[in-house]
Amino acid sequence: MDSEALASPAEGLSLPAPTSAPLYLAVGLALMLVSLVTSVLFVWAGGGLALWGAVGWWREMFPEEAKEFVPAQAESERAPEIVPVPGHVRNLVVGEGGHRVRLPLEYHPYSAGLKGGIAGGLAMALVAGVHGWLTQGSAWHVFNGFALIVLPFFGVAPGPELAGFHAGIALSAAVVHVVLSLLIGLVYASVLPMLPGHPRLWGGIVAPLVWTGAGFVSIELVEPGAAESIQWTVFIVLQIVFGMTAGEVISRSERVKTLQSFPLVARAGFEVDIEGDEL
Amino acid sequence: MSASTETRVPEAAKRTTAGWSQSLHDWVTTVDHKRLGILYIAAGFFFLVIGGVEAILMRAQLAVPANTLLEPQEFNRLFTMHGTTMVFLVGMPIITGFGNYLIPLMIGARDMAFPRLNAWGFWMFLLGGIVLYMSYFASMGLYGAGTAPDVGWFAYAPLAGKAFSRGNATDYWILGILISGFGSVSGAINMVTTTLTMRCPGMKMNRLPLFVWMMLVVSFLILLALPVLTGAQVMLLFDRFMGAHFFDTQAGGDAVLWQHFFWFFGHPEVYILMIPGFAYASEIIPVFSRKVIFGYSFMVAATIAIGLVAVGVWAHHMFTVGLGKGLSVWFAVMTMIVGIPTGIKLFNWIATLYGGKILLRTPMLFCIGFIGQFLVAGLSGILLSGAPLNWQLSDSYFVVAHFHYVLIGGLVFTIFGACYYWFPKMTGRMLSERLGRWHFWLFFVGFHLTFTTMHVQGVLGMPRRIYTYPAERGWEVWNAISSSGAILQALGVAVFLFALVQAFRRPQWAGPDPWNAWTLEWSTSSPPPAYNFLTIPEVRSRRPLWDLKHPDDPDWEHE
Repeated sequence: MDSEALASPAEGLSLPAPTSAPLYLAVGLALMLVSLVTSVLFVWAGGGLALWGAVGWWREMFPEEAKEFVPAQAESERAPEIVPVPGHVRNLVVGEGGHRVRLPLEYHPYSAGLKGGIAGGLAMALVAGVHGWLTQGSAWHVFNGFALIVLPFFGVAPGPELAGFHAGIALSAAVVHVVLSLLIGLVYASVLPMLPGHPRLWGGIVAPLVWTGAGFVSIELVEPGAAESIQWTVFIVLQIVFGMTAGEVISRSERVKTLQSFPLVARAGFEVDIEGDEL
Repeated sequence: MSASTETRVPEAAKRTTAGWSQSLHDWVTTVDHKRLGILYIAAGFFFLVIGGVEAILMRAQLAVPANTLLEPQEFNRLFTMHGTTMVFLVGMPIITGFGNYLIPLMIGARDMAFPRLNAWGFWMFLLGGIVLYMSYFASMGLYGAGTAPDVGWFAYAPLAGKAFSRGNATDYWILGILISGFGSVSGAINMVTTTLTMRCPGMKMNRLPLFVWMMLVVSFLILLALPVLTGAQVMLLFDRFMGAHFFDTQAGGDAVLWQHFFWFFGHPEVYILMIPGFAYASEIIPVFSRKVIFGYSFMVAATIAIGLVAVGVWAHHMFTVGLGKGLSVWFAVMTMIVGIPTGIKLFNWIATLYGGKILLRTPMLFCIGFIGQFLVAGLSGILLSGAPLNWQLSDSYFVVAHFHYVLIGGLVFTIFGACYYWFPKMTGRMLSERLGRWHFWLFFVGFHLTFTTMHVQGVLGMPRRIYTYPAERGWEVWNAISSSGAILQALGVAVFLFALVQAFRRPQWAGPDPWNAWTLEWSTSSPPPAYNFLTIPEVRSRRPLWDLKHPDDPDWEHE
């Protein structure tokens, strides 16, 4: 801001003068409208006030605008001069010590996400099968549970009936399991590079716990009664098995640079050598 | 941040010897944008107390099942008057008041472009409110004299027609809103003209404070949306007084037409109310993070985008009418698109906080509360934009929870933040920080007890607008919690009112710049003189006071 005066009104300034004309006009118009629900007398009273206000307003503006002189504040009342503070603001630079910024300059390829999803899904199914076989004598119980959401289509209720082999349920469970595993693998591949600290911790522990919590809260809405048939401890273990396996596979993949780390000419579509570019 | 208070008593504060009649005359005849701004805000808070009492009465009625505290007709009137009051007589005047007070100061002008029109707009608004509440004493409704309107704040046809709303209580609703609408439109014309034509030298559009940018978008939205409501209300008056049949389905009219007209106004109205909340947050958060706002250009673009999309989503309030697949998909998708610019704003506020030297003073507390709550409001809004889910939840308490998250969790929180932030500028006095914290926490906890639980009531199937309910529906606990939260909110507002009184009884003088802020209003005295600036300032960046305070590292070198 420049303190140079564009005008120098040392004594004071002329400002629009106070007037009651707008109030009269407003009251008059309001009374005229209110006459619809009161009395026709209000039309006349309101009309008179509105006319009074309109004429008063006109006279405020013509032949020249009515102004009042406002004396300038005394020096002691004015805002004091601003005292400058010397020095520059020190800006943090990306990557310097203590700077926590994380930019998605590199990411795991989608193929790593798909591989991670497949590996995690296989590990999860394997552990589920072994657990079912050891505790209930059937590998199908837990695995069929993957098809929980479509059980009503087969007329099967969650519970002991799931211990046997049902081709339709097993196929549905496999489809649900494979699709979810691939999708979550892709999410891991996209998200893990963005998270601070140890990706294996996020993928292996935190994400499964969050996923389990969300599932615990929402499953009653999707399938009433289903929560009681789920062994939540086993559920958590299976999620962690998936997360650790998928996270490990994804973490081992070679990262690729994102487009935003390319020079402008490369982003514009020209064929250039970007190998040597600094990020 | 500099020392926030001064011990010196401002000369302006000593001049309180003018008699009451002279003082009243000065206020009634004023055309000064600052006084009119304060009048708007004071009137808004007056109606806030009235609307709040109505809300407390409704919550008292719903606190326990099968309650007989209120008659059904009384309950209908209460929710009609509560909704109408909060939207038209609380939200609108308060946002107009802050705009009136701050826009000229922020752009380095001495007044609004049309000072007398400004005064006329305020009186029209106030008279509209008085006409609406006159209905309690003067109107003849279906149930006799003294019956306020009971058609909801939306006054759907054919319910609002002569056949179903006998007497003239509904006419008071129409006329009250019609009259106050003239005030809102005149205020918008004034703000647009002032912003576009009265900026000080150097105040280019890309240097406007975000507050001013957002009020500019809001003003255009008012000019676009409010006349549609006014036109529809005139048509309804024709139906009721002159035998026209615009909304009379028995005579070839179209009741759904009213819904289209009303929501073409009604949904932009949500943004008309909410964007000023964004504006307050966009000024307060950077100052209390000691950082420049993150993504100024994107904030402006997102505001304009919200303004544009806002006029293309109105029928998402009408999914249950049966719009057909094509229109349902269109309005669902458009509604979801609003989430993009809104999300940009949320990210930018968070990015402004990130790495900042955050000062948790009362204005900042309200803004941080706002960020979390508005996120929830936005997410539940996107849920409701899905037509199938909307069919399930429409007219349930889930919707009540959603829009109260927007209007209280979003707007009212930022209004309180703005009050604590700009009160020192308006009066020269600080509001008590200790009372401010009490206010915040009481209101914050009360808000969540009342409205977070309403999501559950909605999912459990509790319809809105019912005056009571049987005991075996599983809603008892949730309603009891909701009602107890309303008491905490009322206590919070009471603490705020006490803080206002205390600021005048035991003043703690603020000085011109108690927050060490950067926009032009803080360069003049508190309260500012009638002419705002003795010499018109000239600016070179978006933070002119920063440039003056830090001449070695001015912003204009970086923008």
